[in-house]
Amino acid sequence: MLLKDTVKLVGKGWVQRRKGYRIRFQRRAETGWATEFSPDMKEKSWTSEIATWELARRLAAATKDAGPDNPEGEIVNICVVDDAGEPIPYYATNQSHVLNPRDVEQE
Amino acid sequence: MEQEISKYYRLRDLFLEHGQEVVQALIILVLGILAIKYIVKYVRKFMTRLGAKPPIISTVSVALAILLFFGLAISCLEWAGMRVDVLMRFLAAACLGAIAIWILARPYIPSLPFKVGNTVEAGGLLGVVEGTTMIHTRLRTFDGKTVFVPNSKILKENVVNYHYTPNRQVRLVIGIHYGADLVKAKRILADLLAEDPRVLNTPPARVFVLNLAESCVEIAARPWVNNKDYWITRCDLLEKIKLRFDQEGVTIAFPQVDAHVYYHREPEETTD
Repeated sequence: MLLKDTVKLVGKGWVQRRKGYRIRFQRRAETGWATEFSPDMKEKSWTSEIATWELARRLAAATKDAGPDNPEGEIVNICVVDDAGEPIPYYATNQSHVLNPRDVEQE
Repeated sequence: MEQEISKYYRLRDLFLEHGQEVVQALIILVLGILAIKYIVKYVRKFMTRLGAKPPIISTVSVALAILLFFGLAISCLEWAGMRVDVLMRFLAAACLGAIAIWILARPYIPSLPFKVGNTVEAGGLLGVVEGTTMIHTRLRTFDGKTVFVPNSKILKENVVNYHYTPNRQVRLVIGIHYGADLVKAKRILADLLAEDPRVLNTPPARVFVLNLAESCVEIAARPWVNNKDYWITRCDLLEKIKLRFDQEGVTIAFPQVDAHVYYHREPEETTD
């Protein structure tokens, strides 16, 4: 195999280079719980994983005590996802990390 | 004495004949200058909102201001009753002369090695160039200070222009304990660089052992990033490296000294 082909093959499969990060969360809507992203899927994602996790943490802190009386503020199951929408492990612990967790399927 | 009086009468007649127009022209000039100031201000704001680059905004605003001012000056002179065709010819000749001198002398005029909007290190300072004049350059440092650096100082010293090339290398050096798993540490660094979206594929990032130092093994990581991403990527990578090393049990070294203490015993006294 030519060296350049080897390098190309390695580049494709060695480590998944992420293209960006978004915050994914569920917000109470009229019909139930809606999954939303920030930045929105129409917008460009963020390139800093740390900044995205920090914003997720602040969002969780800001909406921690919101209830059904404040539908705009009731935001749960906050996590950081990659550009494909797949959750990524929290960089500080290398484990899955969900903020304001709630089992919404039972509600 | 009679001459002085006749001069006075002539001036009086001149003022009576043209004074009204001169005063009106002066009022128009003052109002016109204020109007030009506001027009240029709004043009700058409009171009900034459109996303135009600072050097283009600066050039267009200055050119617009000069054109409007010349138009205003000519209108005021015409209003005051003066012949402007001679003035126009003089201005045209002066402009052509200035352009010719500029073209001939340009190779010999020292120019600053940066443009408005570039991040530079000049005059011992690091900041963004906000504006340049013939005498000084206005730099805005990253802690918010505005510094006016004389161009003569800049031209004499080394200048680092961080915008001359589109990307830059982040130079990271991590010292790990001599007892830590070196191969694992290199692998972790390489994986972290590979998964960061801001690290460029070309030129490729490199990880290598830099030095066997007194207190640690120094590993260097050299990713390339776009200029605008340099600082935040550097800080993010350092944070992630520390946390991932902690998770994987790779000890980051700190300066230390091993002390070996030997006790010397006095021989016991024997009594006969």
